[in-house]
Amino acid sequence: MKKVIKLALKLIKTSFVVIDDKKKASGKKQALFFGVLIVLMAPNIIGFGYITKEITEFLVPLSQETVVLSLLLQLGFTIIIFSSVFMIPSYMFYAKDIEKLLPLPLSHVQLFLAKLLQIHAYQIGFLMLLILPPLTGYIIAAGFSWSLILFIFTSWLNAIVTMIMISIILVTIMSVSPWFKNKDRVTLIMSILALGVGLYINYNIGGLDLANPETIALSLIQGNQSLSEGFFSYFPHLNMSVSLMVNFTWINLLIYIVGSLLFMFLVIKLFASTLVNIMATFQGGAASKKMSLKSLRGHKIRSALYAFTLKELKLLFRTPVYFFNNVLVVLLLPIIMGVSYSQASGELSIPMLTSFIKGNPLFLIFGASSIGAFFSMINLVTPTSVSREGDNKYHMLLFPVSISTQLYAKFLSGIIISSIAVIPTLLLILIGNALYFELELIWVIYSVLSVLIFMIFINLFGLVVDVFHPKLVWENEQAAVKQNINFLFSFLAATTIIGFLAYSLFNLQSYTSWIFLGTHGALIIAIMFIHRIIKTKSHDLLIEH
Amino acid sequence: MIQLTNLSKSYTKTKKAVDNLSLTISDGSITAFIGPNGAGKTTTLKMMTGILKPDQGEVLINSHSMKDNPIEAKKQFGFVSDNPDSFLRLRGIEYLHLMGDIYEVEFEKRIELIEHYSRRLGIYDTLNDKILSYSHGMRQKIMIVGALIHQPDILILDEPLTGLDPQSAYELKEIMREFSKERKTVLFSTHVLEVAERLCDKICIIHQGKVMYDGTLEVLKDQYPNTSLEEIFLKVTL
Repeated sequence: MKKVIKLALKLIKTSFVVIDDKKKASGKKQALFFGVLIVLMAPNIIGFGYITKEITEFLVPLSQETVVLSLLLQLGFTIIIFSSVFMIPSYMFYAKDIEKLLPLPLSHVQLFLAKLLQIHAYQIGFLMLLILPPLTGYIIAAGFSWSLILFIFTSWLNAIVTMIMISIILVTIMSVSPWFKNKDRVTLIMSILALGVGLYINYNIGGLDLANPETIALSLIQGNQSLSEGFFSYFPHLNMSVSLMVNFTWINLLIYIVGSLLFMFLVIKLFASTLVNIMATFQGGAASKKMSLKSLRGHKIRSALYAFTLKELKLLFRTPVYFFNNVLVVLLLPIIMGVSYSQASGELSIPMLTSFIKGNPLFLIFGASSIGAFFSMINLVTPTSVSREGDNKYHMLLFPVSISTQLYAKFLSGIIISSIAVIPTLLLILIGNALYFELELIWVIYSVLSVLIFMIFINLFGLVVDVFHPKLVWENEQAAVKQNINFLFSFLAATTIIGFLAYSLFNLQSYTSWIFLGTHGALIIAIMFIHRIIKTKSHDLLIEH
Repeated sequence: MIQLTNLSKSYTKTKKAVDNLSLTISDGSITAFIGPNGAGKTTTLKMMTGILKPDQGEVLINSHSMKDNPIEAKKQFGFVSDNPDSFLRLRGIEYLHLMGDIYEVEFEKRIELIEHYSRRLGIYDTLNDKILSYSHGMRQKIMIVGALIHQPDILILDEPLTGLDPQSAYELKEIMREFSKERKTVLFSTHVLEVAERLCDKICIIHQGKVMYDGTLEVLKDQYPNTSLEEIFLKVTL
């Protein structure tokens, strides 16, 4: 076991580098980076914790506070499923270190355990980042309790059981057919499956009938944690955890622990060898396609900017991890939002929206700005664009093309991906105005401009953050995106500015017009400033990393 | 011509990876850059090609300063790195056309060169596949074709023969000789002394970031009579 832990620690250390600097960042630089990050994240963390505290305070007198823990358990479970589906193939089958690990004098069980521990460490870290703020809010409102201890314990054990469960499913699928030996194909299929499971879980939150207010009201009145009793999952360990928190007995706890340990022991015993053998065979590529004169000549001469943009887009669409994190999210979210809007149309109907906008056209500008900001911050294209180069960053310095041109190609790819969602939204604004709002042309032009300003600013801001602080050392493509905290800066910049506009819209009504104009003007100045940095400083910044 | 003047680079405060290195590589020559592991060969090549910034000193490529006029300087050479795992999700042909676009190679010339070099190195039939499916040697070959596509005056290669099959290694050496005959410059790093002996007009032995010998092999052998090249190398780098 000592060897396993040592190896796992080494794997974690080598593959998880937040501050990527070969010369080792100075203590001051690291402290400054994390300080800025904490300050920027504070509003969101505090907000999430505060909302949980408020909800828990409401539920405590009704003896229903455990439902908060049950929901957090469900959230944790969803996160573990999602991350396992992406991480297990990446860290077990296609990681660069596999070829170095397989010849080591370690048993299959030891190797499998070390890899599991590596994945588990990342998952627990990520889980804590998400769960700690609401959990703190819960503790402030409800205090320490037996349920809380059980929540922490079962969350941890469930994370391991779920990860192992996903690894068996993957081993089974991968061993069935050589068709699955293609890394890209496997990642794509697994991602679609994970998306399906995630959507299903979200749609049926723990089997609770949230759409029926009467059921909720009845459960609330019953008290005695009856809301949590309504939870149902197809995964027995999750049901067991919720049931333990609500109706604790020592026998149930024993069954839960023994069941989980037995499951883990059996899986490791039965599947470790199969899994490690599969690891050894999974370094495959794509099938051969015959070269022809048509293929040789089937290209056009392109400018460097065009060629680099096209290359960026090809890599984004062809690399499953990038496709899912950067492209698909932009394709799917408008659909999900559309469905959500149609379900909630009673609360925000078109006549209501029209009266809002006709009453104050700045609501349209606010909506347009939010859409431009939102679809630019969620796609992660520009905040990871330099990081995604990884070991190949040297090519950027080698080519006889200015670094700024290459960076603008990355920026353009971000704009194109954002546009997938933004252009239909702009069309909706135009149609909405023609049919319902009937605002003057100047408002329509302003709303279109505000979308563009936010789209350009957020993409450019993400790019410049990644130029200053790229994560170039990574073992697999997933780490370039998922372990990259640069996106948080554009996320926080977007939410802060949009939050400020929303606040001014409701609370500073006498100055709203000036605030809106001032904000958009400031963003234009910021865009020009970032452009100047990219033109003059990017080469020096990039060569230093 | 490549001119390096007083080039230095340190990764740590205590040790210089390259220490005040000066070197001139003239036109029409094949020069081997030889040295033990950690001698500073790759660091020098990286500074020469603009990938690394020197702490001091100057790099001139065909009289274009890498510091003041990097774009022109970079147009003069083709570089093959020791790590060919690049652009893995592009098809071979897409990568080569990307190189053509970057170096502004005229279309018909580009087609002719792609076909010529990829057939010589035996990768023409695989150009429609993604580079991800290539073996290490094939990836090395596509990078070599990519470096040759703009017919550079200077070819710089870092350990180019590693991973190549005998036929391709022979073809690459032939390509180097053809370059030299056209009064073009070839500089490559290697550990294989026999290759340097058979192929090069000049060798440059580097050790602990300093040039220990720069000249022809004949002159070096004259300095150490009745000694094998391997023994000479060991003596020079001791």
